[in-house]
Amino acid sequence: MMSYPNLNALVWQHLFRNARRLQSVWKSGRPIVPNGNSFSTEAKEIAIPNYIPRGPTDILEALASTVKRDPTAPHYKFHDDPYLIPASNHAKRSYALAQEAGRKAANWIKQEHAELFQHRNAEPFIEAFSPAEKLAETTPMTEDLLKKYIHTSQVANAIHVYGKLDASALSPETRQSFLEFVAFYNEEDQLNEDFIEERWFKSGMKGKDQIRQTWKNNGLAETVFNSMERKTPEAYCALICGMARHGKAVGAWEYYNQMLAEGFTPNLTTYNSIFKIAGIVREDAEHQIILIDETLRSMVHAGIQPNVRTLNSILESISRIPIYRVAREKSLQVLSDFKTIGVKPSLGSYYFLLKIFCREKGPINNILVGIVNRLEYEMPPLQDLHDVAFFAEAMRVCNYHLEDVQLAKRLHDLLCLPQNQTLIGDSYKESIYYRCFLLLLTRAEGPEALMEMYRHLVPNIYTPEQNVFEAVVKSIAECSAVQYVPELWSDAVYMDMGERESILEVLLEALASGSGPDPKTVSDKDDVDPVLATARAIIAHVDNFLKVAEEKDRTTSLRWTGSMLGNLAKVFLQYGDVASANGIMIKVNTLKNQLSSFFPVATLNKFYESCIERQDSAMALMAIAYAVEMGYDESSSMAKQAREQLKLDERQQQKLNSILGSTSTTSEES
Amino acid sequence: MATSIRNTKMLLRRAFSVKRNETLARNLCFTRTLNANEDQDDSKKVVAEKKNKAELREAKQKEAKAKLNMLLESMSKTTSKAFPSESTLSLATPKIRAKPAKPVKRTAVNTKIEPEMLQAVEDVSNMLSKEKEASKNSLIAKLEAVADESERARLEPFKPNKQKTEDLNSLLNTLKVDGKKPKNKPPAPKLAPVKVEDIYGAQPSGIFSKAHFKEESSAVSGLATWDMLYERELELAVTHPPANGFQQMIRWTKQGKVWQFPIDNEQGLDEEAQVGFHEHVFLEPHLKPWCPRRGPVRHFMELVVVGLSKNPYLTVAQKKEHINWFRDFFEAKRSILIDTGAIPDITTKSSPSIST
Repeated sequence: MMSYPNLNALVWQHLFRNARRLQSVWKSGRPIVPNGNSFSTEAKEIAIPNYIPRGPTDILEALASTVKRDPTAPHYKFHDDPYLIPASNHAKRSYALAQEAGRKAANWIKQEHAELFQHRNAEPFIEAFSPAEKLAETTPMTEDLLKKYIHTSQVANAIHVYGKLDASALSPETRQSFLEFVAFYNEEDQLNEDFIEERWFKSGMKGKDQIRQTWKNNGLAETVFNSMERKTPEAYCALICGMARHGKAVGAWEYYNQMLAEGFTPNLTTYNSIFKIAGIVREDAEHQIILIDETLRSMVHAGIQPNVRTLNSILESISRIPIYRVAREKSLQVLSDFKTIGVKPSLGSYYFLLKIFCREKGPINNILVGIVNRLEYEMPPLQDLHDVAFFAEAMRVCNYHLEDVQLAKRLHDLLCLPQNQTLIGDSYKESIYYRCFLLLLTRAEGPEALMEMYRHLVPNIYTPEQNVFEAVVKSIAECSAVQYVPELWSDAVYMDMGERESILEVLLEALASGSGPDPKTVSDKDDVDPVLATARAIIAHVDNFLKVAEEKDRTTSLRWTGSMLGNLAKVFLQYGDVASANGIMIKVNTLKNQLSSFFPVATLNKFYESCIERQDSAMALMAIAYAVEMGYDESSSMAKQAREQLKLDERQQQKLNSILGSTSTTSEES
Repeated sequence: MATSIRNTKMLLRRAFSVKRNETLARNLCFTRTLNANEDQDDSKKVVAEKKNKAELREAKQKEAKAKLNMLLESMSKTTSKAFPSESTLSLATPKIRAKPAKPVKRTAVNTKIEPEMLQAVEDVSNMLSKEKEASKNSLIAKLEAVADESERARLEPFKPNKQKTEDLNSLLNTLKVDGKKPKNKPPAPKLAPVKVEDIYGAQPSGIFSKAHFKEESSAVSGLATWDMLYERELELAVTHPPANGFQQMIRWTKQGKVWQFPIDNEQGLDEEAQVGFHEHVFLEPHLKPWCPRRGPVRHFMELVVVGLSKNPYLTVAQKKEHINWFRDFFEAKRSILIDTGAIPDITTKSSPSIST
C-alpha cells in the first residue's frame, strides 16, 4: 500500500508517452519544458481527490452564492419593468402580495377543476403539479392517509380523517403522532408552504414577547389524550409541550406534576417547555429561580443532557424577571453553567441576553459589544426559532441603548454576509432593523457618510418610513448640506411622500438652509442650479397636486403653510429668481388667512428690501399689506421706507394709505 | 472677519457636541492614538483663529468672547447639577488612569493637556508677543477648566438634558454666520466601552459538575412528530422570497418541480432502474423455446426482436408480452404454416420448439 501513489504515477507515465509534459502542465498550469535527466527522479505522485457526494441543490447553491445583492436593482420578486418597480412600502407590499394572489388563484383553479389536470405525461410524474386529492364522502379513510396529512402538515384534513376513523383501531404510534401534531399546531390550519410572500409580510408573530393563551381548552388534543387507555410518558410530553407552546402554563404545570406522580421521566423537549413557563407558574423571581434550579437538577438526575434550546428557554424565562440585578446575575451564571457542559449559545440566547441586559430605562450595558466580537469570530448555526429575532433587537439596542454607530456598522457587516442574510426574520423585523440603523446614522454621521449608506439602502433594500425620512432630511439640514436636498426630494416623490406636509416642511427647511449659489462655480447661463430647480419643482408639484385634488373633489390634508412659502421665497431670493419670489408673494397674499403659520418676518423684510432695490412698488405694497394684516411691528417702518425710497404714483399712494389705514396715520402723527 | 466668527461658531458647535458625546474632551486631552492627527488639525485651526482675532473689530470680538464664555460657564454650571453622581451601573465607570506625568520640554505646566495642544498655545502666545506669559497662562487655564469639566462629565453616565440643549440651540442661533456653515458634522460619537461585559463573566454554580449524561438521552422517548414539525418551522423561518433565479430553482428543486442537478435523464425512473440494460437489448433468448431455427417465421421474428431491442418506449415486460403474442399467433396458425411449408413438418422429426 505504501507504494500506491508511485504506482499511480507509473500508470500515468505508461498511459501517456509524453507524461512528463502533461504532468507539469497539470501541476503548474503552464507547460514546462522538461530537461532530460530529471525524468525519473521527479515523477510526482498524483493524488486523486475523494469523491464528494453532492445533493441535488448543491450546484445551484454554489451558483446562487456567486450572485451578490445588488442595491441598485429591485428585489428579484418584482417584475423587471421600470413601470412596475415599487418604491414605497405600500407599493412593495401590494405588488408582492398581488403576485402571490395570482399564485393563489392558479391554485384555486387547479383545485376546483381538478378533472382538467389529470394528464400524466410527465415522467417521472410531478406530484407538486397535480391537484391535491379532495376529501369526499366516498374517499376511503385509512391510517395511511392520516399519516400522509400529518407528514405534509395539513391540519384540517388530518383532523377530518381522524374524525372518520375509528380511533381505537389506529396503531398506538399513529395516535401518538397525531396527538403531537394537534398539540403542536393547536388545531389551527397552517399557511401553505408555497405562499412565501404572505408569510414574509405576516407581521412578526414568532418573536412576540407576551405569552397569550391560545390553547384550545378541552380541544382535540386533550380528547385524544383522554381517550388513551394507557397514558404513555410520550403522550404526557406531547400534551405538556403543546400547552406550554400555546400559553396554557397552568395546564402544562398540572400535567407535568401528574406525570411525575405517575413515576414517568419527562424528555428533553418537555423540560424545555417547563423552563419556558417557569416565570408564569411561579410569581416572584426568587421562586422562579428555585424552580429552574430544581428542574435542572432533576434533568441531571435523569441523565438528560440539556441542549441550546434548554438554555434559550431558561433565558427567556429569566428575561421576564423585572428585577434587573437578579436577572443579570442569574443569566450569567446559567451561561457559565452551560459552558461547562459544552453548550454554546445560539443567536436566540443572545437575543434574550439583550432583553435582560439592555432594558428601556435600565442602566446602559455594553454586553452587545462582547456578543458581536463572538459572532465575528464564529456564527452559530440556526437552532432555535428565536434566532431570527436577534438582528432586529441588536440594532434596536445599538440605536436606542448604546448609540454606538461603529458597533451598528459591525453588526450590519455581519448581517450582510451571504450566509446570514436569511436571519433577518420577516418584513416586520427587517423594517425595525433598518429603521434603527438609519436613525442612528442620522444622529451620528456626517452628511457624506449618511448619504452613502442612504443611497445603498434606499429604496430597494429599505423604504424609510415618514419619521425616518424626516430625520434624514433634518440631519442634512443641520449641516447645511443643501447639495443633497434635490436628491432627497426626488426620492420623496418616488416613495409617495411628496404630498405629506411634514415632509415638505423639513425638505424646504433644508433647502433654505444653504447660503445661496456658490460664487466660485461658474455655471452656464442656461444651467439652472439644482437647488433652485428643486424649489421650482416643489412648487409645481404641490400646486398640481392641489389642483387635481380640487378638480376631482378629493379631500387632502396638504396645504401651503407660511413657513413653507417663506423658505421657498428665501431660496428664490438667494438665487436671484425674482419672478418666482414675486409669485410666492402673490400666493401669500391670496391665501393669507388660510396659511396655517405666518410668513416669516425676516424673509418678508428681505423680500421687501429686494423690492426697494429694484423699485418694484407693486410688490412692495403687497408685502406691506401682508405685514399690516399680520400685525407685524415692522409694517410702519416699511411704510416709511416706501414713502421715502420708492417712486409711488398717485394710485399707489392711495393704496398705501388705505392699507395702512389708521395705523399709519397714528404713527405719522406721533 | 466673517471666517473668524464662523470659526468661533464651529468651536461652539464642537463644544456642544462634546456635551452630548463626550468626545471633545478626549479629542483635546485624552485620546492620543486615535485622534492625534485630528488634534493637530484642530490646534492649527485654533492658531489661525487667534491670528485673525487680533485683527478683529472690538465689538464683534467682545460679543463672540462673551458668548463663548457664557457657553462654557453654562456648561460647567449645569453639568454638576444635571448629572447626579449616583449611578447604578458600576461597570460603565472607567478606572481613572493615573496619567504618567510627561514632562513637556518648554512648559512643564501641567499634564492634563495634550503636548500638541500645549505647543499650539505656545505658538499663539508667541504670535501675540506682548503679554506673552499672561495670555499663555489664561489660555492654559481655560483649556484645563474644559479638560476637568469633560473628565468629570465623562465619568457620569450620559443623560441628555432637553432644557439645556434648547438653551444651547437658542444661543447658537443668535450668532450670525455670514459664510457657509461647516459641512462636516463632528466625528461619530464613540462611547468607547470601558469594560466589555463578558457573557462568561460569572462563576458557574456547578450544577452540572457531577452530571453523567446518557449518550442518546435526547433520542430516548423523543417526540418524533413534534421534532419533525419543529424542524419544519425552523426551516420556514429562514425561507424568504428568493433573491435570485438560482434560489428560486433551489426552491423548485426541493418541491420536486424541476430536474435535479447534475442532470440525469433516468431520474425518478425507479422501476426501470431495477431492470438491466441487457434485458432490453438481448431478446433472442426469448425466441429459443419455440421459434423454428430457420425459415420465414424465424426471419420475421428476428426482425421483430431487433425492432423491439431498439425501442426505448416499452418496458421489458411489454416486450416479452409482444413476443409472446406472436408465439400464440403462430401457434394458432400452425396447420396453415405447415401446409404452406413455412415451417417444416416436424411431426416425424419432432422439432423441439413449437410442439412443446
